[in-house]
Amino acid sequence: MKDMLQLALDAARAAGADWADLRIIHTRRQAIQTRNGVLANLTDSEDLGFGIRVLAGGAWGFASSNRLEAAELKAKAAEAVRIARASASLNREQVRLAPEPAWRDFWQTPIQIDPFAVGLPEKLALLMECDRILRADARIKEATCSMSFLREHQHYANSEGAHIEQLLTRSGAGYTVTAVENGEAQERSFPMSHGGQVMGLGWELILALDLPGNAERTREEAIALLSAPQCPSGRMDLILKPMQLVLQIHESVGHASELDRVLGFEANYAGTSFATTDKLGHFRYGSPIVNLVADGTVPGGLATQGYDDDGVRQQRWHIVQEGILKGYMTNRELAHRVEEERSRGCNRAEGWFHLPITRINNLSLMPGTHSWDQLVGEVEDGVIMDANKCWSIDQQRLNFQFGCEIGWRVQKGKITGMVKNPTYQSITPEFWGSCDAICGPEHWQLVGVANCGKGQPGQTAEMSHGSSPARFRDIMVGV
Amino acid sequence: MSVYTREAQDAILDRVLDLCKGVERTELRLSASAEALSRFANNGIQQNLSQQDAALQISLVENGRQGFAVTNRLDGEGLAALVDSARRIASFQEPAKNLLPLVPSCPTPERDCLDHATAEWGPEDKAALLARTFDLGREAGMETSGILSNSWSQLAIANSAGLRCRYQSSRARFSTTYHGTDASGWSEGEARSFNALDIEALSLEARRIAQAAAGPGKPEPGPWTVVLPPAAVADLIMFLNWLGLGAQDHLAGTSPLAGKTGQTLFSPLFSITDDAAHPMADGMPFDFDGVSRRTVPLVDKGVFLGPVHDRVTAREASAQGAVVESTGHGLPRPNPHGPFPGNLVVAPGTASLEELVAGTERGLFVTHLHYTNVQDRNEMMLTGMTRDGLFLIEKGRITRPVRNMRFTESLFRAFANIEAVTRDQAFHGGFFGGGFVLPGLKIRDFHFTSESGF
Repeated sequence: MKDMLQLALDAARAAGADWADLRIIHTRRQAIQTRNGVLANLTDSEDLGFGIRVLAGGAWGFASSNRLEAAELKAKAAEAVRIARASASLNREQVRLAPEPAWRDFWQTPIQIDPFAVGLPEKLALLMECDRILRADARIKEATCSMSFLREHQHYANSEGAHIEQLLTRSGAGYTVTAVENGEAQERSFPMSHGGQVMGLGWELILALDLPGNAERTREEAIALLSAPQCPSGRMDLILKPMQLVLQIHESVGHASELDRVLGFEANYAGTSFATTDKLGHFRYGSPIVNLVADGTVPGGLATQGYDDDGVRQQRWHIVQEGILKGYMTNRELAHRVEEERSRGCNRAEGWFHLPITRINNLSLMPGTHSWDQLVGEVEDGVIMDANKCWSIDQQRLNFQFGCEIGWRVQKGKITGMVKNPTYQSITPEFWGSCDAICGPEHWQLVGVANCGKGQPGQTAEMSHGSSPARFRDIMVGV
Repeated sequence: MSVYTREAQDAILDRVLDLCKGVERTELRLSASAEALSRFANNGIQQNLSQQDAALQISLVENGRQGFAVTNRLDGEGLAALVDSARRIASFQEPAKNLLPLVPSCPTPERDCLDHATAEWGPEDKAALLARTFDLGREAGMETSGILSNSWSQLAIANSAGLRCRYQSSRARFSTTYHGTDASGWSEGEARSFNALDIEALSLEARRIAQAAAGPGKPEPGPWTVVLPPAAVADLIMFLNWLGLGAQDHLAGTSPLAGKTGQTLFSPLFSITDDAAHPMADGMPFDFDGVSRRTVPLVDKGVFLGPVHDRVTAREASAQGAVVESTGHGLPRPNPHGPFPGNLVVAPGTASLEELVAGTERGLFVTHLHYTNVQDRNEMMLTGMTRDGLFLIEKGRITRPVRNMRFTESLFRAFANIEAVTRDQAFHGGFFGGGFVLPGLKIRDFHFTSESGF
């Protein structure tokens, strides 16, 4: 492999590159899904290829291919340089990379049980057991149960002398049921919506989730939602549990703090950000108890790895500290734009095929001190919401509206019953500014987002967001 | 960015069919694609790339058991490993029940929508065109952002019953936003050939909108009559497609349109057909099972006529009493979604977009929508934002810009409240399920629920 890496880097230099890096990635995936008692999918997939990125004339060029052969490596290196020169013909500013040691290292996801070593019969039996419990009521018209496993073997090298090998493992599982009655459908999922929980762990995650043990409750909640009253409409207090806070953090803080968005790189597509660089260090993003920490080293995180796709070692830093905007997700190209000497290690690509772009790292709301009983007991009139169902946010990450699978009414400090179709809407700094209580570390959960889409051409990335249940005062609900 | 020749495709497919000679049946889907994209922002190219991949998916049945596998390693070793993987997966399966017979042939086995010059379009040519886009921005004191791309894709399907069909296409796409101090304007174009894209005209249109949108006033949430050009209609149609036009969710009873076939649900001005053969669509003439795609009327003058089917849902629906055949809308199997239309065409009306505005006493003109999503499936309730130019219409004229607003609206209500449809249609690539040929719409009582502040 070292020969391949060197051959491509040499070819890029020979073609006129001032700087180059290369990623060769071999990925294995396994996807298993049942639908209504039938095995709907069981696919093994294998994917191999390389992507070469160069700087020539101070501008970027990138080329990738699935043909891992010497001739193709040389051809793509030359093509990347040709593309970079076309970029340079128009650009008035030259790309400037923040310094990073030329690491030579091996890193792998710490796992206890290799998910690819677990037999298919065991995996299928677990999903079928869940399916049986989930469909034990005629009102359940659809039950889908799934597992997915990924192993990504990466080789990274750059013209500064870095050579990093990483072996990343991810595991995930979950299920969703749909109950139907009188033309109305209601969904409930476990452990979370959007395909279940995914983490940088092995088969031990699947065992810890206790999928069968939660199936009956999930089924009964879906059925109960059919006859539950509609979520009330108006301004009231809102308690969010971690399976909804994950999307709240992701959309209103994660994307808003990606420095490429802030600087306008995504302006035509995903949008920009209200959290502009002139606000850094003094803008009140949330109340003083709001601390949001990015951490590429947190155990089990989907963005947890040794190095990003710039070859930058992972770090931990504040995005919001005591309610104040303190940092951004950065890469080697953009770090200097906020006067930082080193990248925060947030440049990642989906596989070898795509160009690395600035990505949300693992980003978590730090726990507070409240107990769950205190959090609920101090609410006169409010709603608890959990499990994201709908998300929408404007192109500056200000106006958002979310819907959840399930809600519970709180009146005079007591949970008084389930409500269906709960929604809420707010403006990002007003919302985080209204956060007046967060539960303690005993309630803290790390939740994976395995399908974050960004960029053109579109690519997905994975990251995790941790939180404890949190309370927000005087929010518009039932939109 | 070299496309696969027929001979190269056949060599791969024949080799794998040969490797599978001992099994009962084999189905293969060979896909290949490439894209070269220049992405710009702040009047400079920020990302510039060329990427290419190919993959072979196999479904085989051995000893009555079915196995699936996918690889992008198309050399001899990779193909042999693919077959081994599918056989291993099959060995763990229960015997397959109710397997449909293989499709032996397709009446329309080929369509070539690939413009080779577009597939090979180089980065220097694109940079030269973008120079004008940037200059137009600088002249107006504006920053520009966007993409200019060329791409191609190929699909070849084969099975052990003798089926072989192929499709290939190319796309050139330009999308740009012009950014002023407090407003932006946007435009987009897409075509089979780059020659059909007028980059300068699209740039000027985005700049014109950005200039007109400057100094936006405070909007008033509430019900509004809206005039939506095709780009804004695209978001609404995409979600109607996803929620209601595929048979699987109808059979499960989970679609909001389930049980509503034959009912008048929408305005008599609203008709939709799925038509892969439409001249603007460049659609595949067959689906991923190799079944010919039929032209399927889905909504006729407001009456819902029923969803599209693949072979599996057709059999399931037939078992419930009706005689139903596949309409040729199967997606690559296995998939959790069932069949979907890929080439929706909303029927044109008689007016121009300008006449829609002229016929509006008080309303809003929406450039396009952003981050639309489903809030409540049962009601087909969507929420999303306006973007890059929201304008007040007063007494038949666009009078002034207003700041962006969030809408929260049911598709049942919106499509029932259509008051006028434009005669001109435009093609818009779909995020889910292909592309759509769409007119502009005028809709009354479209609900805006909050504002963004910019």
